[in-house]
Amino acid sequence: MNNYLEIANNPVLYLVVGLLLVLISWQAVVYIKMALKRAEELNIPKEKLRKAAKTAAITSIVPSIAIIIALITLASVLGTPVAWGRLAVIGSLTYELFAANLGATASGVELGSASYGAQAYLTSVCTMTIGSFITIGLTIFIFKWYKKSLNKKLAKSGDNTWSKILVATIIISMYSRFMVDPLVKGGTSLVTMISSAGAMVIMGLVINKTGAKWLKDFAISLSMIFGMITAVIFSIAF
Amino acid sequence: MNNTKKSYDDKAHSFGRLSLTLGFLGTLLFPAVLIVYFKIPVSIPHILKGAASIVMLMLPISLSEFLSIAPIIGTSAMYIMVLTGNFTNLKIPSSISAMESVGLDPTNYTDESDVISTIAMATSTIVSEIIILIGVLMMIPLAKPLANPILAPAFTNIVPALFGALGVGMISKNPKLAVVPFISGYILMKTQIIPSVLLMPVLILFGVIASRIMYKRNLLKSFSATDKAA
Repeated sequence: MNNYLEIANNPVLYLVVGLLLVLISWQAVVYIKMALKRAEELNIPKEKLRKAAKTAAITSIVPSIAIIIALITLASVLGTPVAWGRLAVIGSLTYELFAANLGATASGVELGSASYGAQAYLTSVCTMTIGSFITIGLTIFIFKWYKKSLNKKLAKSGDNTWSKILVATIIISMYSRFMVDPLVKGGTSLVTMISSAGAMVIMGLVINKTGAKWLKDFAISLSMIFGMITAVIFSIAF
Repeated sequence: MNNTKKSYDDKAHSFGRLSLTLGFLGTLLFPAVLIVYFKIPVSIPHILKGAASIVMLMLPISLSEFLSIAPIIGTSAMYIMVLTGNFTNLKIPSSISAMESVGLDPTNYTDESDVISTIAMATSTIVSEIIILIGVLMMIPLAKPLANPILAPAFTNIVPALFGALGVGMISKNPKLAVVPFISGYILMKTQIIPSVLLMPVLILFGVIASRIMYKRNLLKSFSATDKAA
């Protein structure tokens, strides 16, 4: 075991995770209370709220399992508490890996390699923290103003077609960045991506044919698992 | 009604700002503990170098993400999402399916969908935290079998597996939007003309310019009818 991992898995860091979990639960509870009060003012029936909560809960189960898989991956290089804390607050697997890797590169070593020590680990953690301030800062400082001016604009034009196209384009461009990677590299990563996409298409067809809506919630996670199993089989075979 | 809406909105903003500030201070505790408690020596030049690269990478990404997601998400929901992360893989899908389940159009934002999406995002946050907690508790018994080298390719290929599954739906729904980012991405990556950390903001820029041209020339008519981004 690398020396830095002994620090990275130290119980003291779990205290920080506990604190962060208390904070996000508190935020969620306060917002639920505010929304319930607002629902009363708007005469939204309680059943509707219950149904929405139930659907959101079911939809969250499998993506959360995917987050656990991400956590296991991240924990192997960053230790469990930092991986857990970062994924519970602000983070996502791709961002954290990117940032941790940039921190490692800045220290002149490769993430998770033998030369990746405590100091490089600290640089990774600092890089992850600094990078995440951008979204937080934008939200704290300009979200209120931005939301209000958008609402005014939208109320004037009444057409949100371009905003929908813009959002879809940005998401597709982000996906493209990660999808061209396996296309260029080929090998196991390409096979994984194609089989995961194939599983998704097949499940889409099954959902359309049978009307099995429950499968929709599980489609992404099941496709991922299929892709990952294919990666293992492909690596053993070739 | 307008007054109650105004006070609800203002409260949501004030509490959101407070909770985000506390959240960021909370994440600062990780490096703080490493420096103060574990006495890991700080290398300022390395941290500045790391910070410069992450800010260069994240500024355009975060800005474009912020500018584009903020319009389609309610006030409280946005603060919950920014604090708890996992936008496209968890929070937006669960909010959209919650709205659809009670017969609301997720692309058309009203006071009612604001309340429903807040409930959805908050519920999703709590459920997700509980599942992750169970996952972490199970990691100790799971750690050994998962560390088996035979399984290594599964974990090193999580990113292609995720984007294969996510991408196919999004791209098949909007193939025209995917052409420019995909082709330019392939060329830029193959030739390695630009560093890979800059690839994403560059592809977003190319993609948005191409979409704007198509939109202006009326080549994206289908959009006004059905798209559900994310």
